[in-house]
Amino acid sequence: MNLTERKYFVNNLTKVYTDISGFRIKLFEKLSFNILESGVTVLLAPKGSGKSTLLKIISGLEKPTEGSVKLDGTIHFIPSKGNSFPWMNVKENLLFGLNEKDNNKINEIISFVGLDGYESHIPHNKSRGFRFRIELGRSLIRKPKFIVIDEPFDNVDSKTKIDLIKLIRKITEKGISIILTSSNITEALFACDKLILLSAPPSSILDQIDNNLSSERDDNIFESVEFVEKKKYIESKFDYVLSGSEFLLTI
Amino acid sequence: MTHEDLNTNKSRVIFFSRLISVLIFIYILLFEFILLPNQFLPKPTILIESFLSLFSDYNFRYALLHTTSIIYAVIFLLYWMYRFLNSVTIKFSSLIPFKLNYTSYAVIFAPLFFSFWLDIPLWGEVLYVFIVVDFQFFKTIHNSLRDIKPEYIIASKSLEISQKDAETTIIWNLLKPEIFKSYKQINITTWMSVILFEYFTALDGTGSVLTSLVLYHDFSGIIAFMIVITLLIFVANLVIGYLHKKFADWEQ
Repeated sequence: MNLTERKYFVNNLTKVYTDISGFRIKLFEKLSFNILESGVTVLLAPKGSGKSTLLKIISGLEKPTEGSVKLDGTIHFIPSKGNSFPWMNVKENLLFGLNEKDNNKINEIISFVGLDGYESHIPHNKSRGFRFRIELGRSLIRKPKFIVIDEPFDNVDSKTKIDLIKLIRKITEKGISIILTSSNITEALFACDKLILLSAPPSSILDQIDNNLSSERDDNIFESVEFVEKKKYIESKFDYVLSGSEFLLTI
Repeated sequence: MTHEDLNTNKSRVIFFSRLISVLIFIYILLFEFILLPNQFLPKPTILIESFLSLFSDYNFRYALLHTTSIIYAVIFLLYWMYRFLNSVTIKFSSLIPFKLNYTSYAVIFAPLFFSFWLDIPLWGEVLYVFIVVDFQFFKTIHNSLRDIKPEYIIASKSLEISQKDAETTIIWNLLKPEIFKSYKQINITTWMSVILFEYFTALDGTGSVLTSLVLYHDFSGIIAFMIVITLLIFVANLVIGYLHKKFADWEQ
């Protein structure tokens, strides 16, 4: 995979908000980083460090206090909790809001996200993994250049998590850039081509790591020397921000 | 609904059917054959006569038709009114920055005031039922709007769905299960409130039959009246439960 760096995607981004008690809280300050073209960029940070806000700003759904985001294509945002419409079946969810309905394309995407045979199933009472596949399909059918995903693997079991990461990596082969957040070192390292480590609020960039593990990720990678060493390095980077923050270390 | 839920419901129905059968048996045994005539409960044979008398002497059939039509026509009308004026409701609701936590049972006291102000046959009652149902219905809609997960709104913005489509399709469909859930409560409290309203105004409807029953000290008639109304509310709640499963059986 060609992992050529695009251009500055996020430039000197700062977000300050006033909380319910009237205190001004700086969520992050002067964040600048590039994202990969046709790759997975993961923002790794403790919970509560403003990752969701950062993604909303990147997606154009929220305005930064300072700084800018440079984009050159359609961007689609998938929020952290399930948001597939529970009264519509899989196919209706994918089609909702679309003017052009190309059946072949729809079937191709349903099959791509692994929902073949489930077209008429409704997401209500289905697993988070199932709903996430619908949300991915709903994004793909809109032919985005970037898909921004907030904490996609929360409340997902390990087996499904690995399957979803493989699916996300397969999407990048279509020339789509994926930006996602995680607070789990192992899953972030397993998923990413590029890792951006953010500190606890006010967040700043601790490090940016190019992940040169094989692009074909399988379960054996967890035991590889390279993976274990990278994981240790990241843990060491987070040593001083871990106190007081929930930080998950297992997949 | 899962198999476990279905089994739990089935066992609940079986349990209550058995309990009611046992209570009816005890009632017949005690009040028909063992106890002397008393002021506590009427004899079962007299109660059966009272049921027949309710319909033949008190014109209960017309009264039931009158009250039932008004209550359910207003509920139906309000549902569609909120459906079509969803955008207005959302805007109005956003002006109230907190959840409404008044109890729906408050409407039971409403007849104390409204029965004097709305002492007009038919339209006065229609207006009263409208106020009573809306008082409860708006609370459900307002509180449910505040409970909608922001992820749905963010997702709809990201999907570039128009504000109008988001309000009429997404938000309304997310509200629907809560509306159907609240209907059971609304059904009970509205019936209680409307019977009291009709009782005080004594113009028309089931409550006016109660006025006559009280006037004639027809104790067994009052018991028969209560049984019919309870059964009616129970059946209506079964229908509401069925409609909920058929049209809004999902959660966010």
